[in-house]
Amino acid sequence: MIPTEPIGSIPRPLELIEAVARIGHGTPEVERFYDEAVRDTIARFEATGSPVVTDGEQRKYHNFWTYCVHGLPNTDPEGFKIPFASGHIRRMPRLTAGPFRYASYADRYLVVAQRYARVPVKQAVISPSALSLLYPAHGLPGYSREQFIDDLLGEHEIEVRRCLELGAHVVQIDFTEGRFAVKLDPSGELLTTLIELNNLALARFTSEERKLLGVHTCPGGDRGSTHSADVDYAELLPSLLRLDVTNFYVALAGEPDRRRVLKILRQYLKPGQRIFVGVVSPIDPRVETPEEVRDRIIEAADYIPLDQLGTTDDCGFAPFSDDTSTTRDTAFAKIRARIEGTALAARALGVA
Amino acid sequence: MLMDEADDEEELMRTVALQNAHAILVARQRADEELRSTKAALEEETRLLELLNRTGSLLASNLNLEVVVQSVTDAGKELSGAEFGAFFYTMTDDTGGVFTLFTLSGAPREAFEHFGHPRSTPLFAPTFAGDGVIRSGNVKEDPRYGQWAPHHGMPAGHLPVCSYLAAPVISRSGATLGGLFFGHSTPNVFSERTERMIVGLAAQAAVAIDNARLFDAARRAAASERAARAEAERVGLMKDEFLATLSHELRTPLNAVLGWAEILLARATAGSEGQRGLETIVRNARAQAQMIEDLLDMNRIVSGKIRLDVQPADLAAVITSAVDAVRPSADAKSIRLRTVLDPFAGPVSGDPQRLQQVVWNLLSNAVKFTPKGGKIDILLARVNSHTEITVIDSGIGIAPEFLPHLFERFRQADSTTTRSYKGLGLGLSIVKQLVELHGGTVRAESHGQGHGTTFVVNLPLRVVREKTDRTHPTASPIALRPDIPLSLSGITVLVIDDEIDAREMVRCVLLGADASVLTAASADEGLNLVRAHHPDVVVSDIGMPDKDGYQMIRELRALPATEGGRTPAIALTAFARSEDRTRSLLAGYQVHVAKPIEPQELVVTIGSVTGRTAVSFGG
Repeated sequence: MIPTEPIGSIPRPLELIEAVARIGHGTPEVERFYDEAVRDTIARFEATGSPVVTDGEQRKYHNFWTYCVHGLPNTDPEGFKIPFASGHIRRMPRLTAGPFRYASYADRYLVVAQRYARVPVKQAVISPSALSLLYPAHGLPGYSREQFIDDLLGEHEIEVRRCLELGAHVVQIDFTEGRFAVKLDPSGELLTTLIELNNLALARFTSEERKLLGVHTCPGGDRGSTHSADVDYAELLPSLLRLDVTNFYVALAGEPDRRRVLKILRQYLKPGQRIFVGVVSPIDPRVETPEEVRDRIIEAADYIPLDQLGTTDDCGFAPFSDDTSTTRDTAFAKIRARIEGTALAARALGVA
Repeated sequence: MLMDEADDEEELMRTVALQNAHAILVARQRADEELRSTKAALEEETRLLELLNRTGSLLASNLNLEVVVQSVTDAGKELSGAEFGAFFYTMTDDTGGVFTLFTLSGAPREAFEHFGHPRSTPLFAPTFAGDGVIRSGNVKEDPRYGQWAPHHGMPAGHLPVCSYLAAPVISRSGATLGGLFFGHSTPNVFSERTERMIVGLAAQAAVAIDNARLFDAARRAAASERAARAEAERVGLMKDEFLATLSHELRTPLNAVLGWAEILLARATAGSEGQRGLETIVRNARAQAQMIEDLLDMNRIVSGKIRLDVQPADLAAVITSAVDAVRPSADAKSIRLRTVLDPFAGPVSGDPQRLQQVVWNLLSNAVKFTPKGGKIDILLARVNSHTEITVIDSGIGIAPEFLPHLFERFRQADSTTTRSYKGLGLGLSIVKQLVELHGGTVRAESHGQGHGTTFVVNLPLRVVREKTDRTHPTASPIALRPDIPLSLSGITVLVIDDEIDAREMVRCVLLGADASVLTAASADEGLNLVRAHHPDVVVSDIGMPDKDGYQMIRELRALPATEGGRTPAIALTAFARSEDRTRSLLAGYQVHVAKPIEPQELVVTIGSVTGRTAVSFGG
């Protein structure tokens, strides 16, 4: 058997998007739209035959990155701008005062999803390295960077532990800024810093706990576009695999030269690590066929030992809550292709 | 967004991220420090756990009180982090007096020796009274204990103590066995956790001390029991030795009496007064020999040294032999002996000689207690899965109150009877012991005095009947045919005995059987004669001064064959126990013959060891 897991996000139902736009996030009236969205997402997820599901991040507002700080009184919207290849920009919030605490933890999504799900549920959380960019360049009076980093690591640990305690199948740490960091600093120093920070966070868990943790990296995916696909994976992967974690979710389907990426993975893969390679691409509007997926897996199996190989989606299908570039139907069709293609590959490789 | 703006944005983000690097580095250092301190704490925890574990194992396995208390003191000091620790514990001496001892850890004994037992102060007393743990961060400032300067609850000259921790050691019975005391010169050394560990250690110590004391008590009890058993064994051994010596001393003169009486009897004129006198001597000497034999038998039985030569035994033959043996004495009292033997009674497993002894004892007993003109019936019958031997006499009978004691050693019905009927009162006891050794039972019935007695011996039947019964290995066909004339003509016998009477008696017997006889009064003389004359057989006494018969035969066996090293040898000795027989055979004798000897038996034995067969004897 080849394990297969989703990355996380599924485009929100249009009714939900409209309701949030109309009524506003966080209002009691919008709750039933969220509940319905989660219920429907999990039902459709399970209908694909997926052995592991997520809540499609239906409740993460406004996105995979800022959900945990949304609404914090000590932030303003004047944070960094992340430019996407298609020309649009996403802007991050900025911390205005200490101390830094999460506004909410992802376990509150997990507990709802588990209520509806009949199969294991995995939960994605944002990496500490991504949140580290909240601290402003000019510093904050009375709240040093050191204090901030301490608080950040503490909050991240709390979030992961709460998800583990609820029985998350896996807690996936979204590290999509990794490749973006190489784009910002081709010297690799910035990436090293981010990896270091994430390793500091991971060090707070036991080796047994780290078997239930994973890290996801991709070139970003929003409105059918990426933020760092132009950065060579060769710059990222060797550092990424230094993360002290068991599971890696690596976008691969959308790469122009998959074999080159696979060679790098083979070179840096360590015993005990498992690589979930992306076999469907959310930013590609075309739905892959199961046979296509199968062939991609067989290709990957040339480089990665089968007992260290898994499959996933290249990225979430809608990391930002208002992204409607991909339909829910397409997302689930792609997921179904991944599930079926993975099963075909397992049979072809004799591990069904 | 203009490109310049985008570039500025990215540059800013890069700057921020790199600014964070320093903070991350600091966090890393802190994490590393935490890791190190966690590791150190973990190592310390592991060390303490190992210490606790090691101490626990030692306390659970060691029963030496001194080792236990020292280990507890050392472990307590280590666990608590104290500068020094002491364990004061009470002991009770053999007279019930209570005294206190102590062990120390981390301080020399001299530091405490001049204080004696801790005084009954508010600081020390509760521990010895078993009133819980006392932990003080600074005993000098603690209003409960240290209010009296200058010593603050400690005796003058005591090692400096600020941190103080004491726990009573209370046994399972609730008694306070002592107290553990720990001190440190700086304040606040002992935490709540330390206190818990010391309390745990005190509980372990209590169990270990209880165990050590119990073990000590058990060991003392075992030692005194061992001593008592050794004493009993020594006394038993002395008794055995005494009996062996006594029998030897009794047999030696008896041997000469019996031997000579028989020689003279053979030469006496038939019907003469001399013959009657000699017959009386022979009969009495034999009776005395039997009494000695009984004594030895009883001794062998009670000391478990008797060995049965178990084989298929034909009880009809056994009974017939016994009847034949007692018939003369029965005839003498005109007692009618009647034998009724069931031919289908079946064989039993047993020692034929011992079974014969059983029947002979019962018959002798019956003859002894049956007046002239009485009758004795002896019956052999199969009853269910047993064979029963019944001896019925018309004798004096037994009083009902004596029946239960009939088979006890040295018991006869009463002193009057003892006087009227001679003997040691061992015969029936031997019967009972021998029958029980055969897996059987014996009982006596009597309708009272004057109404005769019935003895019933019950023996289990042999399970498998063999086609041909073996004969007793010691029962030589010659011995069963005493009528065959015996001749040792052409055989030279060397007789070695320091007792001139015994030596001469044997010489006379052997000359009577046509043997050539050489005699020696000592082992050395005998060995010289062996070398000089190459006798065909050596007959030697065992108990001789200077060099005994064992040493003699060893030296003889050390000689080359050409000098007589392989000469057959017979031990002729009053040492009649089975171990004496074994010892003489191991020393090098072929045969062991117990004194007093029957002349015919000696001749037959000599014939046997020199290779003379019955036929050649007959020739």
